[in-house]
Amino acid sequence: MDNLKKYNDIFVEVFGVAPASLLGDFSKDSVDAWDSVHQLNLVTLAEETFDVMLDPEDILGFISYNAGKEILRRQGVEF
Amino acid sequence: MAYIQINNVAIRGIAGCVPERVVSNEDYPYLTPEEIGKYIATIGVRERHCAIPDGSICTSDLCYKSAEKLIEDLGWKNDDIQLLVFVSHTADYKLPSTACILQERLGLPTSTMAFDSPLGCSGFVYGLGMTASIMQTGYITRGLLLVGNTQSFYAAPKDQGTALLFADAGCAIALEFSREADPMQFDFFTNGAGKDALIVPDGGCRNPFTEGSLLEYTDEDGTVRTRLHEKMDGLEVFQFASRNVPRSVAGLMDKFGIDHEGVDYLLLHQANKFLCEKIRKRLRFSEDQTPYNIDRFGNTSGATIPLLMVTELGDRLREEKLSFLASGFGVGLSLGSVHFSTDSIVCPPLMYL
Repeated sequence: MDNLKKYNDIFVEVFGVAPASLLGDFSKDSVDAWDSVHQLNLVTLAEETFDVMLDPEDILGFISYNAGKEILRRQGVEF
Repeated sequence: MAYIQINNVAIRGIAGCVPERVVSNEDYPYLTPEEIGKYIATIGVRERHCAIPDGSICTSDLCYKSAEKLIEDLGWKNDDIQLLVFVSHTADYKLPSTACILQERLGLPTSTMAFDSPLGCSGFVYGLGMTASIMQTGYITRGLLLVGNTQSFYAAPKDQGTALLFADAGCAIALEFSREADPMQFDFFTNGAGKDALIVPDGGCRNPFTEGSLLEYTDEDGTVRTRLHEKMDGLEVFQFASRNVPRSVAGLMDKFGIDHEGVDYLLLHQANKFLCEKIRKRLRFSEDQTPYNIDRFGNTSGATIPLLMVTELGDRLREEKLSFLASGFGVGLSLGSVHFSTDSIVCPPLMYL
C-alpha cells in the first residue's frame, strides 16, 4: 500500500469521512469534530503507521491534512 | 527551576480509597462505540470510580478512610501526630479549611498544625514538599499528607475531553522524622499564564456564583457546558506537560546526580496515556519502570501518584526498599517533580467507600 493511501486511511478511520473529502481544506478550522482528542488519535495512528515519533511541536502543528503530510515528510515519509 | 532537598523525613505508609461506584466509558451516550474505542486506545481510560455529587462522598471522606486505616496499620497513636496537610481543589466548604474538619474527625490533638493547600494535579509532589519541609527540623515528628479530589462532577457531561477522563480518589501518606531517611529532592515549576487552560470560571471571588453560572452555553469548540464546569484546553495542557515535564525530571536527575539505574520506578501523573508515553520515551525509562492504572481509575488529579503506588506497587512497597522519580503536572499551570525512596512501608490494599 502506498504512503498516500495509508495517510488517507488514518483520516478516514479517525473522522469517518470519505477519502474525497480530504481533497479540500480538511483542517481543525473546517472540521467541527477536530478536537484535541481527535488530534491525538491522528498522531497516534500516524506514528504507528509510519513508525515515527513526533515532537510536541509537530503534534501541536498537526492541525490539518496538509500540515500533517508536511510534518511526516520531514520525518522521511515520502508521498 | 526551584530545587530543594529535604533531609531527615521518611515515608512510613501510603493508603488510598476510591468511590465504589464504577462508571464505564463504554457506556458514554454521546459518542459512537467506534469513537469510544478510539478514545480508550489514545487517552487510556476504560472506567473510572466516581462519587455521586450529592455530598454523600467528599474528598475528605476518601482521605479520612485512607488515614484511619493507615494510622491503625502503622500502630501510631493519634496523639503522636502533630501535622495534617490536606491538598485538594474539592474542599468540603468554602470555609473552614477541610484540614480542621479532618483533625477533629481523626481524633488528632488540638496541638496539631492543620491547613489546606488548593492544588490539583501537582498536589502530591507539592504536598510532600510542604509536609516534609515542616518536619525536617524534628520539632514535628509525625505528620499526615492527605491528597485527593472528587473532581468528576466538574466535568460537563457532553465534554468528552473531561467527562471521560476525570475520576475521584483520596490518599493518605504518613511521614516521620528520621535521621536515617534518604533525602527527598524536588523541582517546582509554575506558569500562571496558562491559568485558562484548566479552569472552573465561576463560583470563586473573581466571578461569583450567579443564576447565569447555571446556564448552559455552547463554547467556541462546540461543547455544551456551564460556567461551573471545568473547561480544559487539552492541547495547551499537552504542550505545557510535554515540554516541561521531561525538562523538570531530567534537570532533577542532573542537579542531584540521579541515574536511570538507581531509579526503580518513574511515577507520572495519570493525565492521559498518550501524553505519559511521550514523556516516558523522552526520558528513556522502560515500560516496566513506568506503571499505569489510568485504564481503571482515570485521572484523579493530585491523587494519581499515591494511588498508582497503592494499586500497582503494593507488594513491593511492603517488602523492599525502592527509589522513585515522580512528576505531577496540570492545573495552574503547575508542575512538581520529586526523587524519593521508601523502605518496606505500610501499604494497605486499595479501599472503597
